[in-house]
Amino acid sequence: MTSLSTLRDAKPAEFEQAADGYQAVGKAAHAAKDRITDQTMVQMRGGELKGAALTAALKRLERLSDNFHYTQVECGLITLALNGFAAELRSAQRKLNDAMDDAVSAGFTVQGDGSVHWEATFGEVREDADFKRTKAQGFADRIGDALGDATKADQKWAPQLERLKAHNDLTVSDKDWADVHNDTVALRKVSGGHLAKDDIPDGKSPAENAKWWRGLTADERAGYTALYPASVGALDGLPSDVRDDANRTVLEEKRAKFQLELDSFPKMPMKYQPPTSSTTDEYDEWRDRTGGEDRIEFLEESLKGMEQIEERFDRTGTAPKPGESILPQAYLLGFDPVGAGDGRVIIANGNPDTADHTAVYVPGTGAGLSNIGGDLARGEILWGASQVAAPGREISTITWLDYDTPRSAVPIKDGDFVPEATDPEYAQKAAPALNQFMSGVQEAQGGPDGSHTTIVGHSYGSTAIGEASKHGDLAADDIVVAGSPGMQTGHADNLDVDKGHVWAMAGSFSVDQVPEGGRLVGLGGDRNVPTDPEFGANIMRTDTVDHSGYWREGSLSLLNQAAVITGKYDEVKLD
Amino acid sequence: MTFDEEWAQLKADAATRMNLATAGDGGGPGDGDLKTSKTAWNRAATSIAELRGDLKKAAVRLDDGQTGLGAGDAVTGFVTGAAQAGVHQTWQRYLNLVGRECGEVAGKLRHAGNDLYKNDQAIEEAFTQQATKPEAPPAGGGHPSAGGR
Repeated sequence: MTSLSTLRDAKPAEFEQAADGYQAVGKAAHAAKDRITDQTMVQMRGGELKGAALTAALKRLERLSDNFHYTQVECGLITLALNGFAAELRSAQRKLNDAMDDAVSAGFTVQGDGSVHWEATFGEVREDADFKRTKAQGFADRIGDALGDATKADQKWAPQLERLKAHNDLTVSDKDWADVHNDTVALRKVSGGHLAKDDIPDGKSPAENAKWWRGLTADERAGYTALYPASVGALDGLPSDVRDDANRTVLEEKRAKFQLELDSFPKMPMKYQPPTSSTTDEYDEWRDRTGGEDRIEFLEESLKGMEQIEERFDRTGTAPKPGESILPQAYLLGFDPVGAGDGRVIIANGNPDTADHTAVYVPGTGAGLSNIGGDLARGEILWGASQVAAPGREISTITWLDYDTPRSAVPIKDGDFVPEATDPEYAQKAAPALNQFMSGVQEAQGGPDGSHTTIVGHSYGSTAIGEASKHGDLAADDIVVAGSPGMQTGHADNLDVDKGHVWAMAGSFSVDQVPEGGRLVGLGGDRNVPTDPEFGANIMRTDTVDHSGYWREGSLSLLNQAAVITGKYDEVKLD
Repeated sequence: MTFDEEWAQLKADAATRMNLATAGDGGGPGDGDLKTSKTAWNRAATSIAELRGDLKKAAVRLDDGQTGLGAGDAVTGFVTGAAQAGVHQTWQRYLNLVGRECGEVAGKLRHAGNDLYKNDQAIEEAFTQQATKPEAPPAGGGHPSAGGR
């Protein structure tokens, strides 16, 4: 139990000053991490250095940057814990002081142990004495309450702080990140009403999200990001650097968690009971307890995808091939291993908030976290081509995967007799998320005039765009589709861009059968697909040799997309 | 070999290599798989050295924030106060470790930038070698998850 003198003499401000100290360290670490990864390592990879020496030096710098990231996140949590304790201490102290002041002004004295006394006056009648005793008890109770509050706060926050001790080595291990995650979860529980998860807008428009964020103090922003990185990172409408920062913490923690789970996965017992084909009891128990082979596959596939995301980060500052543009910084605008089913991976090449031209690429059938590398590469290729098309303009290209994509497009060959891509439901479900994301980009850009924005859809991705365009406002100026099986509408005029701003390309039937397949199952409207003259889109020439060849380096297909993305419409080669 | 002799040798080696380099195409020495640039190494060295400075400033602010929270101050009446003092100690130690690591890395980058290593392999070896080590923990200190390490 906190003693009266301890609470009376306590200086909550001292804990707040300590919190400021940790905050300063966290901020310096954040800046250091960004400088190493976005500047120092980028320059070193820039081409002037090559060889084993460079590789060894980069490895060392990467580890240093991991240490700074760890410091940034943990010191953010310590800041929260100390401020949380200070606030509760201050409120308990105020309660104590009020009770003591009231007691004294009513003529009572308060002893060091919290007991309340009074001087009996000579000739006092019994009623008077009882009255005073009752009053004294009231003051004593209030004092006791205040001391109880302080004790509760003390006992609540001490163990939280205890767990936030720094490790004492230079390797930020998977276990360290798992600890960071657990520390965060534990801190959420005790934070209570202050910085509650319910305060974070949920299901609101990007404009409302942005308004909420603008209304927060710097401390509150840091607090929400520290406690709920996944929620903040997913919030459409927030500045891209804020989302990137939060999502990178999520990525780091998830990767560590999945790796640890995989490393310690209990061994699978004998599966079948010979001579029968039924599974053993041990196997059933193991599968029910651990999630079994499905879980192992999910962990392995997710880790593979996370690796591909990390590889994109490492490509910043490098040219894919000599003479090509140097890739700009990556912004992780969305990350979740599960998402709508195939994972959420949203990565921008270059900051969309300040870009003159923005392109959002929506992949199609079969896209997912585990094979995200190919779709990330398409975003990078679009960036490079647009950069060449509009030198000196700031370009941002985004790969957007945040929907349950159909797994098959070709009957039987892809494993399904009736391919999933014949079903419009995947697009219908994707539409709200896509709309919301696009509006969020626009919000963070400062409105519709902030950037010229193109949305690019491949294959079934174009179906999702068509669906999104039918419901509400699609925050885009141009729509480009390649190999589209149909956009859920019979005419370009029904899509949510100005007349003349829908662009379509597809190889002939001999190289790309998807448009005809889509027409057959009715993914278009009125049996029209975007590359039909009746659809009313600008039909672009393409030199693709198959359904996935629209992003080949140096190809006409790619140049045409870059021309639209950079608003150089007269450079588009039409059919 | 005394330090001075070693230094003279290193300088002589470096001079030879530089001559060889200028005798070529004027770029860095080596073929397509090997490239070096004094500027690039030195720029990296400067940035890591600056980071060390920034970190040090932040660590000073951390220590300044401890006023009134030390042993013997009133806060020791709170378990949280005592916990904070313990936490602070681990962060002091860790930030010192990270700072020393910055120093080592910056030094090696600078060394590479001044052409003081014999060749690419020597630089690689330098970066693989780890001089910065954690301090031995005080008895009973350290992170609980690391068994008090």
